[in-house]
Amino acid sequence: MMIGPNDLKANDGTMPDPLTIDAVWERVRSIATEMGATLMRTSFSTSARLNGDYTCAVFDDRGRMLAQVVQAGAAHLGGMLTIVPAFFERYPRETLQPGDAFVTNDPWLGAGHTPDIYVLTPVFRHARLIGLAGSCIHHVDVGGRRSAADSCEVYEEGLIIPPLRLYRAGVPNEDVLSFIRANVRLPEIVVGDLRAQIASNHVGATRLVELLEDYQLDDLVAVGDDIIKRTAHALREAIRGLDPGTYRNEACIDRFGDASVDSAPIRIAISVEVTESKLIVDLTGSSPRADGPINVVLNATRAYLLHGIKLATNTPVPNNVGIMDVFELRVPAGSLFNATFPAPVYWRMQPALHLPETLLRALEPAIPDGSISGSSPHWFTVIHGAWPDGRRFASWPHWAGGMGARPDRDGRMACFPADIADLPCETLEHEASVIVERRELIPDSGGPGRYRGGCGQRIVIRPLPAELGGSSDPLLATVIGARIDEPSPGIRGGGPAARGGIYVNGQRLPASRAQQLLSAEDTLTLEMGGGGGYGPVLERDPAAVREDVVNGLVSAEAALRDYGVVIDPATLSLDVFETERARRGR
Amino acid sequence: MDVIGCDIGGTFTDFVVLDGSTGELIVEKVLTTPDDPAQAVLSGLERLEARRPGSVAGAGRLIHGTTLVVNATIERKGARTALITTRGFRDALEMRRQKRVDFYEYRTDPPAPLGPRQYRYEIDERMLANGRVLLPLDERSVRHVVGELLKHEIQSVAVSLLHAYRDPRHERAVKRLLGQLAPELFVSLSSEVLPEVREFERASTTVVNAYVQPLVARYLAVLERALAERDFGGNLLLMLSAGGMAAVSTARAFPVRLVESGSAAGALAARALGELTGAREILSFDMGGTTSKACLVRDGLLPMTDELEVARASGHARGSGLPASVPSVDLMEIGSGGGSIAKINAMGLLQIGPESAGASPGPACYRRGGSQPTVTDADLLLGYLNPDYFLGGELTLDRDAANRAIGEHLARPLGLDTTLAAWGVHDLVNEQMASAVRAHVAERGGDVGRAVLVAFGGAGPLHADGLARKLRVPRLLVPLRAGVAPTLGFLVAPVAFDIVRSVKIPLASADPAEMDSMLEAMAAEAEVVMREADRSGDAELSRAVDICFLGQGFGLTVPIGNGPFGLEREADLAKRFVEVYRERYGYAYADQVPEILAARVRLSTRHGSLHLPRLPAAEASALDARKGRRLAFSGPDRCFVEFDVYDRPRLTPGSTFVGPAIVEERESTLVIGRGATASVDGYGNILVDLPSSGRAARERV
Repeated sequence: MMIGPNDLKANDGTMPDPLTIDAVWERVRSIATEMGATLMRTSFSTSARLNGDYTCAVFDDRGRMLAQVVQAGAAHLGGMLTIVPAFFERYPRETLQPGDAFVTNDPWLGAGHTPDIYVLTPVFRHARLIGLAGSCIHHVDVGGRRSAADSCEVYEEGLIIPPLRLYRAGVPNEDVLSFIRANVRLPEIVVGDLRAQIASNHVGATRLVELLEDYQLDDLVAVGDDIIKRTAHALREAIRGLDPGTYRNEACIDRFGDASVDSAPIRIAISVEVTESKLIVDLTGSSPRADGPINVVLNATRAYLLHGIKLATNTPVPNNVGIMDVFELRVPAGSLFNATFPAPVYWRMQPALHLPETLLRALEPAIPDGSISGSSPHWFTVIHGAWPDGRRFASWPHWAGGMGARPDRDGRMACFPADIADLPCETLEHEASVIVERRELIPDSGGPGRYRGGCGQRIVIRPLPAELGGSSDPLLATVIGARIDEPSPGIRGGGPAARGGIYVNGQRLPASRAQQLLSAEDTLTLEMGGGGGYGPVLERDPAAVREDVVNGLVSAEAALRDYGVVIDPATLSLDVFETERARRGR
Repeated sequence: MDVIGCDIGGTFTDFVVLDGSTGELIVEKVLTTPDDPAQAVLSGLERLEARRPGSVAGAGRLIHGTTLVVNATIERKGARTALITTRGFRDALEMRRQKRVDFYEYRTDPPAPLGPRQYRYEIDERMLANGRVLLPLDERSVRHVVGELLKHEIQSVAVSLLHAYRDPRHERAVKRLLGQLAPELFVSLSSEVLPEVREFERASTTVVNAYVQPLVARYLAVLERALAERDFGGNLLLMLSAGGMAAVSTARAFPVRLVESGSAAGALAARALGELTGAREILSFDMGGTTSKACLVRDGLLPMTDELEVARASGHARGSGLPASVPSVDLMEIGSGGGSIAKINAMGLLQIGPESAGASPGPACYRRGGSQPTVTDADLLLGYLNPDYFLGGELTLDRDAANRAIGEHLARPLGLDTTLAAWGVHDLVNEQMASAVRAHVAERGGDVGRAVLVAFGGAGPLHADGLARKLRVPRLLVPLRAGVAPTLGFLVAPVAFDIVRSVKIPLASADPAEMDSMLEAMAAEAEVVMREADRSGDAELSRAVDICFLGQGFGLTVPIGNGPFGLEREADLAKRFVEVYRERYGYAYADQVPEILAARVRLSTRHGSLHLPRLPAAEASALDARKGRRLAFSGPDRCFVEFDVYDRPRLTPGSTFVGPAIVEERESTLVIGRGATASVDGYGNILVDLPSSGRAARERV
C-alpha cells in the first residue's frame, strides 16, 4: 500500500503533530551527533579518532534504533539495528536501573567480530525507562592471537564478552573491568575507549531526558513509530526509482588460503528482487563457511548490503529500524555470509567489503544514471610490536586501493566502499617502530575505459633500526589484502584494473594475505590494485590520456597498448595522426 | 587617532570608523568588486572621506579583512604552484585522508589539489619522527627539480618534507638553494607555515599558502600605494584568521593565515560586548542571510582550531575541503540564515536548507523573483518582521507572496494551516542551529548554560530568544545597531601572532632544555613578526602546551609560565592538565599518561575594550519608546498574541520591559518571548533574562 505524506500526518490523538515530529526528529539526530562528537574527543585510540571506526545511536524504550551518528563504521549499523531487543532477552527491562551500563562484543549480537565492543546505557526519567544510548568502537585490541589471521574458531580471536554490567547504578563494575584489562594487550587504551563510550552514552542520556521535558513527551514511542514509518516510506520511494525485476550478479574474490594449496576462490552469488514495496536480497549460492577467519555474521552482511542499497538509490534515508521493513535478506545459515557460532570471523571485512559493489553491479542495469565500476577495497594491515622501553603498539594504518570509474568521471584514489580515514605516515612512525619508505600511486594500475579507474597505491615499509631508536625485536605485520587473485572488474566495456600484490624483500607472496615477522633488514611492500574502467577505451578523449601520461598515472606504453593513443615519450606530445591510425585498427 | 575597520564580504564591503576623541561610530557600505577587490576598498574610503574629510589621512590605523585568499582558492585564480617533497610521498595531496565526502554516495569528490601531479616533485632526503636524519639532503636532486620548475614556468613553490615540523634544516637548505638558483620564485616552507605533524594537512596548508602568495603580494602592493596617494600615514594591518592583526609583511609571508580574515570580527565584538556584563562564557551568534556563525568565548579567550579548510565540496562537511590548518578562531559555521529555503524532504518532513535564496532572488516576500519559502518569509507571516520597516523601510515586504510560498510548498503538503507551517519553519531552524551549537560544544567542551548569548547580524536578534531557550542559555545581549555590530570586532582586535609546533612526547620524558630552546625559538620568530605590526613593545608573550592522555590525539591547551620549562614541574603540569580536562569533560583519569602534542606561543597586545559612547541616563520608561502593539505568533501558546512593539533608538538606559515584545531598529528586529524580562544598559545594549530552566521548559515548545 502506498503511503502519501497525507497519510503520515493522520492524527488519531496519540500521534504528536507533524511539527513536533520535525523538531523532535531534528533533536534526536542531534543527540546522536553530539554523542559522536563526545566519543571522538574523549577516545584514546587512533582507531576511533583518526579512522572514525565507531558509531553512536539512540533507541526508544522498545529497543528500536531511531537515529545514528552520520559518521559510522559500515558494519556497526548492523549490530545497532538488532542488539537491544536481543539484550532485553537477557536483561529484561524491569531489571534495569538508572546508572546501569552494559558491555558486549559478542560477534553474533553486535557487528560480527570481537574488536567491536558495544556499550549500552539505559536512560531513565522519573524512574521510568525511556530509551537507551549506545555506542560501539572498533577497539585496538581484544586479546587472543595477534591479528588472528589463521584462526579456525572464534575462541582464538580474543576475549568474548557476553552482555555484562559495566556499571551498576552508577558504580563501575571493577570485576568486569579487571577481567578485560587482564586479557588485552593495551589495557589503558581499551579501558580509555570504554570510558569514552560511557561518556558519550551519558551525554545521550542527559539529552534524551531534556528532549522529553522540552516537548512534554512521556516517551519516544509515538515519535519513533512515525519516524520509522516515514523512513520505510522514503526508502520505498527511492526503490521505486529502480525498474522492478530480479537482478543477478556473481563475483569471484580473492581466496583466503595460499594459492599454492588447494583453496577455492570465494564466490558471491547475489540475486536482488526489486518489487513495489521491497528489496529482497538472496545470497544463496555464495561460498560455504570458510576455514579461515573471514566468515560474516548476518548482522554484518545486512549492514554492508544496506550500504550498497543506499549507494544504489542515492537518496538520503536515515539509518533506523524503518529500513528493515523494506529490505529482506535471505542467506542460508552456516554459509559464509551467515556464519554460525563458533566460526572464525575476525577478518569478516575482507569478503564483506565486496558486498556493496556486488549488489551495485547486479542492480546496475536498473540504476537510471549508472553505477560505479569495480573498486579495490580497503586492506587491513596491523603492525604489532614494542618500543625499546617496552611500550607496546598495535597500529592500523587502513590503506586502500583505487576506486572504480564512474559514469561521468574517473575513479578517485583509495576510498571505496569503506570510508575510513588512513593513518598519516608521520603519525604511524610516531606510533609504531617503522619507517615508511614510500607511499605513492602506482602508474597503470587503474583500469582503462572511457573513464579510468583510480590508481592503486604502493606502500614500502620496514622496521626502524635499533641504532636509530627503533626496536630490536621483530615486528609482526598482518596484511589482509584484496584484488590480488582477482582484479577489479571494469563495466560497460571498461577494462579491469591491475592486480595487487604483497612482497617481502621483493618476493611476491602467493596469497592475498600475510602474517609476517619483519626483522631489521626486511622490507614489506604492499601494492594495492586500482579501480576498474568505465565504458569503451576508444571513447576516452586522447587529450585525457595524454594528461594522464604527463601526470605519470599512465605510461606512454600503456597509452598505446590500452587506449591506442600515441604519445611521444620524449616530448609527451600527442601524435594525433598516429593515434587515429592506431585506434582505427581496433 | 581614528581607527578604520574595513571588511570585504561576499556582497558588501563594510567600513566602520571609530572617532578616537568622541567615541562616535560611523558605518559605511559599498558593493564588493570581486574582480578587483581593492576598488571597493578605495571607493568606500572616498565615501568616508566625503562624509568626514580627513578620515583617511588622519587615521592611525586601517584594519583590513579580506576574502581574497578564500575566493582565489575556490575560484582557482592562484599562481602556478609546485610542491617539493620527500621521495616517495608526492601523492599525499592526491590521496588526502582516503575519505569520501559522503559515505552513502560516490558522486561527490573533494576539491582537486591546487595544481596537477606533474608539478609535484620529489627530492632525496629523509628525517625521522624522532628527529634523527635517515638520509641527508642530496642537493643534486634539488638542483634537478629547480631545472624542472624553470622549464614549467612555476611561479610559487611549496616545500613540505617529511617530519619537517620536527627539524626544518632540510627545508631551509632547499629554500637557500632555490634562492640562489631561482630567486624570482615565491617559496613557502611547511616548517614555517604549519610546523605540525600529519603530512597531508601540512602539505595542503603550505600549498594553499604558495598558491595565493603572488596574488596577495600584488593586492597589498596596490593597496599600499593607493593609501599612500591618499596621504594615509597610519598603520595598515590585516586581520588574520586567528582574530589578531598583523602587518602587511606577515600577510605577504603567510597569506594562508588570511583564509578566515574578518570572520572572527563577530566573535571579537561579542567578547568585548559580553565583557561589559562580566560574563565568563559568551556565545556569539551572528545570523545573516545565508549562513550563521557562532562562537563560544570562555574566560576572555577566543577558542582556536587547527582544522580549518577552504573550498569545501559539500557545504560545511568537515573533511571535504583543502586543509588550511593554521591557527584560526574556532567558529561554528551553520548553513542556516534568513534566506534558507524550507522544503518537504523525502521523509515527508520539513527541512531547512542547505539551499538558500540568498540576497538574489531572495525570500519570496522580497518580490525579487524568489518563489521558494524561506525563513524570512516565515518570520514575516508570524508577525515578527514589520513589512513596512524592513531595512528601515527601504524594502517593503510582501505578506501575500510569503503566504503563497509557505502555503503552496509547505502548508498544503503537510496538511497544516499556513501559520502553523510558518511556525514549523521558525522553530525548526532554531532547532537546527541549536543542534550545530550542541555538537560543536560537545567536541570542544564548555557550558552554554552559563553563557550570555550575544546576538547580531540581520536575523540574529529575531531568532536568539528561541535558540537560547533550546540551549538553556539564560541571558541575551543585543547591541545597538545589531545588524552591523559584528564589524565592531575590527576595532577591538589585538595585534597578535600565534605559532604552534608539534612535539609528541610523553610529558615525563620531555627534556626541559630542549623544550626551552624550542619555545624560545618560537617566541623569537613571533617577535620578528610582531615588530612589523606593533612597535609599542606592549605585546605580551603567552606560552602553552597542548597535552592529551597518551593515545588521544586532541590536546587541551594548558598555559605555562614564561620562565624556564624545567620550573614547570612535570607533576604540576600533569595536575593542571587533569584539572583542565575535568573542567572540560566533567571527569578525568588518574591512571593515564599525559603526552605533549604541541607547543604554542602567542605574542599579543591586549585586546581593546569597546569604548562605546555612554548614553545619557534618562528618567524615561520603556513606554515612551513603545510604538504600539501587534499580533505575533507565540510558540508556547500556539496562537497569535499581542506583542508590545518598541522603537529601539528611543529606548533609553535603565528602562525595562517584559516579553512578549518586539524591538525594531533599522537593520534588525529583536523578538522577546513570553516570560522574559528585558532591560537597557548604559550603552544601549538590551539584556534579556530568560525564564529559568524549569520554567523555560514549560515555556518552551
